[in-house]
Amino acid sequence: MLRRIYRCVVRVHPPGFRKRFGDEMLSIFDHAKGRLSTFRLLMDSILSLIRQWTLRPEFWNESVSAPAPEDALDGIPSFCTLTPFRPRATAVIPGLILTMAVFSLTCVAIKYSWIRVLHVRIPEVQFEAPQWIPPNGRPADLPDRTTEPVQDRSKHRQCTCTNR
Amino acid sequence: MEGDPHFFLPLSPATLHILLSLAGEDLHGYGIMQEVARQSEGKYRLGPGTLYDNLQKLIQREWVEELGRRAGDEDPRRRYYRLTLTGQGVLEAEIARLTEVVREARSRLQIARPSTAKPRRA
Repeated sequence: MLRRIYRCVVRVHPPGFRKRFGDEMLSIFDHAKGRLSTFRLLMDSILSLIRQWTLRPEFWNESVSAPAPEDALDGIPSFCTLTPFRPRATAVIPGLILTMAVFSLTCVAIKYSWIRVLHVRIPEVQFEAPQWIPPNGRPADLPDRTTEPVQDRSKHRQCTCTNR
Repeated sequence: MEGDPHFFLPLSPATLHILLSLAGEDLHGYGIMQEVARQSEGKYRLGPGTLYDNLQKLIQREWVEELGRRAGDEDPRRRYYRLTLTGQGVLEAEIARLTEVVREARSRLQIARPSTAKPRRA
């Protein structure tokens, strides 16, 4: 039970510290004998957790083993094209809150937009169905538009798109 | 300025004990804890949290280097650490400082000893 708690405490340490020393801390815990000493180790890990998150921000995202730039086989040095930039955890939380606030405002703005409030009607755009021309068809085979009955002209004004 | 070992003095007790324990031989974390307890006759005990917090700092300063795991070790999770030349220089500077403190303290105590004696009545 205590080991499980200890493991959880080690797991919530900053990633850089956990990856580097987590296994060794567990190894030391496994070698501890007696309930009192394991309890002491648990207390020590809790203190360590607080210390790492509050006093050691420079080690939060430290990589496990920073690889040195290696020379390629032909003697030409390889270059790192991407910097290992990661935003700070403290910057992520306000960013998340801000994103959620903007998203909520956008949703509200869409739902209660001025168009709806002012009852402005946006004309609907309709497209004509594509006409099918037989392979050996002639233009004469097409329906004569001049003989079509004149319909509501206002509708035609709205829809001006034709497929050619 | 930071190249001068005296810039980092005085060392904290944990740092001093870790450097001192690594001065003899390369050790893993658990070995350092046991060695510190032995050096201080059980009066000073390092927890793993304090130990690795200090080791992290010492590795960054290049006073200690990580050697990695050793094949055939009792526990394959253990990693070994070694004192670097820079670390040795800092440790020597700290020991010289402490020696000076002890010498000064002894001389002062010798001067102060007669005054603590009870005054004789005439």
